[in-house]
Amino acid sequence: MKTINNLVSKVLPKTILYTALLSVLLPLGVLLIWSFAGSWPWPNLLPKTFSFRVMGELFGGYSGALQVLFSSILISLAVALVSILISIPAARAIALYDFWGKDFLEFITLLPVIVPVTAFAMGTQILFIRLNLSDTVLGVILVHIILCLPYTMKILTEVTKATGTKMECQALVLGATPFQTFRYVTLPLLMPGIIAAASMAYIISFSQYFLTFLVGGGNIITFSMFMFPYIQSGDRTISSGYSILFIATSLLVFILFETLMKKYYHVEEVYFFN
Amino acid sequence: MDHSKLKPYVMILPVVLLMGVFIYSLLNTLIQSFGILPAAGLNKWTLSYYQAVLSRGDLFPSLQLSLYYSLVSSILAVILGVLMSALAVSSGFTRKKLFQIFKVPIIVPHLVAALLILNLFSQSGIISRVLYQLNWVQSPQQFPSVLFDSHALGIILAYLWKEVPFVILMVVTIMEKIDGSIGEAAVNLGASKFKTFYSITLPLCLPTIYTSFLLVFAYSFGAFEIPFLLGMTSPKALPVLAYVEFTYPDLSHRPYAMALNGIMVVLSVMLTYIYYRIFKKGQKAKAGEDYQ
Amino acid sequence: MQELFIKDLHVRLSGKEILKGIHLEIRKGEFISLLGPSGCGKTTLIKTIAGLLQPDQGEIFIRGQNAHPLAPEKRGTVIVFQDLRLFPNLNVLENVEFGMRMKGVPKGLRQQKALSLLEKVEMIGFERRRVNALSGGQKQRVALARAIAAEPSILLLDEPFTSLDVNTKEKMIELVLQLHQDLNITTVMVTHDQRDALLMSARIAVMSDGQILQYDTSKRVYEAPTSPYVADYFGKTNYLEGMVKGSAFRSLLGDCLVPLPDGPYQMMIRPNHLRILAKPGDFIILSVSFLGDRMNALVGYQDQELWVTAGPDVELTVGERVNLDVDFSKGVFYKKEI
Repeated sequence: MKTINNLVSKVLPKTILYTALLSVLLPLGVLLIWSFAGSWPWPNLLPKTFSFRVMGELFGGYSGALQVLFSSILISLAVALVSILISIPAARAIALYDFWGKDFLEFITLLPVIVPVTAFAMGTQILFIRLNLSDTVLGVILVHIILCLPYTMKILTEVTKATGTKMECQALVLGATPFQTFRYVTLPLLMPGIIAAASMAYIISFSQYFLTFLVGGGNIITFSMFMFPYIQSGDRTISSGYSILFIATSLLVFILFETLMKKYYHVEEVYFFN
Repeated sequence: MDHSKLKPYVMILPVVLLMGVFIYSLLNTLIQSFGILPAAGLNKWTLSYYQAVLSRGDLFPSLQLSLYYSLVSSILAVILGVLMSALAVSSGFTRKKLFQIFKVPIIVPHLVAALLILNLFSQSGIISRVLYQLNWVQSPQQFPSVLFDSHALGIILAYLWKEVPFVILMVVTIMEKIDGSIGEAAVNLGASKFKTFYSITLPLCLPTIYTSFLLVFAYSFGAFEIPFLLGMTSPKALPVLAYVEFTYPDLSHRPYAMALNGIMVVLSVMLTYIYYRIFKKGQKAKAGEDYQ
Repeated sequence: MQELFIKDLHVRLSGKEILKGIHLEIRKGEFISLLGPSGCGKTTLIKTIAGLLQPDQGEIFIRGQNAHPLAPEKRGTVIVFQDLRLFPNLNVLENVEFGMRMKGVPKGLRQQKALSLLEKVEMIGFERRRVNALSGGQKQRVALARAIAAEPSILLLDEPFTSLDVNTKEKMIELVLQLHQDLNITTVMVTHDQRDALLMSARIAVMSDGQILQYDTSKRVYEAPTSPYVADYFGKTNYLEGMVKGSAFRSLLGDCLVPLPDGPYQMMIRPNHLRILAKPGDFIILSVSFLGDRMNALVGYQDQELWVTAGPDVELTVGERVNLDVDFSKGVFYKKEI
């Protein structure tokens, strides 16, 4: 009896969970192998030959992959930064103040996630053409920020609500000006939320394809756009290679975010998104 | 002028401006769907584009397909996600470093998720090769073409791979919190662990669970990449259909695309509104908090 | 000059009036308590003094200067909150240094001052510790050091001893009194515990429902409470019904001369001003409790019940009949409303 009980309460959950983990890792592993495959015909379980062709194409100068990667990273970093900068005060307003239109704003901010990207992208084109933002980096950054706002606003509003104004009141009575309070007390308290929101904004921007495609007009090419034709074409090795590069750089950026913030602000273990 | 009254409005200004751009774009789409497109010489309000779109032979199959795969993948994602979260929280798995692996799919873009499914499930994919080793298939053609058929299995699997971790991420934090405080109290009072979970923890997590459903459903309904890469030629998913119409060389054809967009927008906004009315009603926080 | 002067203060929170006309003055270096049950407005009062809340009506003067245009960070009024609010991203030393750092005190000097304060609160050696790793009592000491390090002109303590166990509390009381004696900082302590108030304060403001009922030295608040409510706040007490006629108060327990106009009165007399006489008498002992350093007895006569305190060695049994001696000179008289 006890062993059956044990089986159900200990072994079964663990099995299910580890199977789930495997279904996350296995496809990625296959991706990795494809990146280094030379010839991998059906039905081999492993490639017949390995090759660095993909690596050559990625890192060699002529494909332009590295330049695109680099500029995409910069664009997404900019998107993350600006999203955070404008979300912090707005989230604070929603969390701590009462004002006319507050509920409406909360609802509206949710829309970019709900409304299909196609509707947004197609409608933006004409506006941006008029504003001379079409086919520009600035235009791309702006629309990316709009897409990120639902997430950054939600995260930062929650964190602001949770911390409240208690610590700030304490800082004030100890003699800190409102600016000093923000810098030395509020900001450190918000930091876990800021890291989570920044990571989220970064990856949303970096992964974005359709919107960049329409607004950037083929002039501004992000890494996702660069990858798309390869994935469409069915060339497994190249598209896998680019995908691995995508994932690897994203991971690196996150680890960078976290270590920077941890060092600077004495924040406890923060795995991204939490 | 009382500066403190102005303060919140200044604080929300940048966000409001950007959301204004968003609303404007949406309105643009809607206006164009009613036939107003000066650039193409169209200046009359008309419902004809909607009529045309709604009477197309391929609209309802597309709509059906989009609703089908987004509902199926979202419902499954939520069920599996909640299940995984429950197992992880109750077995303490959340504290292990390995648990962080569940967060990896978040940084994988949908494009790549499509590629992953292709690698695994296509006729020349890994699973078919494994089946060969087990002597279940003799050639790639013998492996069933599961990806591009009307059951949209490829699309559903790709969305699942991305969305289950997303749901886990959203749900697990709050589940842990509740399980930790209230769950402990309930167990202390004599309820069995399972019963506590089922009748106390789970209901308290429902708002988050519903939110996660809303987010994954709305996203998968309107997203372009995965159905484009993994869908059949016909019927096309709604976003893909809109895209095809959008890239039609004749600009005066544009309103058709916009009408399709309009339909999608109306459906998704209705959904959010319903969600908001149901779940936000009870949560009017006491605003205007005095200094604490 | 008075350190703090408050005139007719009215404060409203979320539409509800919390403070309904507060008048208060405190001298430099004085230690006073705001005493009252939860909800009476004492925390609201100190928050308003500190500038965290704005009054609807009335004025606050700090050292003769109208505080109204002063932002909280400029008033010199430092609060130690009940939940302590130590900054989690800073270690102990950094927390204590905080006020000085904000004012621009150079690093060496502020570190020196912070360390000397940590020494005073007996937290030397904890400088680099993270505040989450401290016990409740330790956190309190750090919070206190931090507040004092900010060089307040008025120190406001909000229920400082509520979450402490009895022994830690006693040590904290000693510490606070010692610090007050050494540094002579004007202090306002908010508490609901009448014993703490009596023990520590020069003057006590007894508050109820947004108003100060009595503001006087501890001795006078205890011995000459201006109303039954205030009297009751300091412990179980007795009320003797009686009539005054011709400057004489007559009651069941006896008479006394009292210069009051005629009419019905209640005489408040504390249990320790009644004495049990050993000979058999008219009063029957209804219950007895032993409290270590004294005995409490409930004594009845006709339909009147009285609490009496006796020494720990007095022999008392329930049902015994005794006589009572009343020290009428300690009685406080309240006119009864008809």
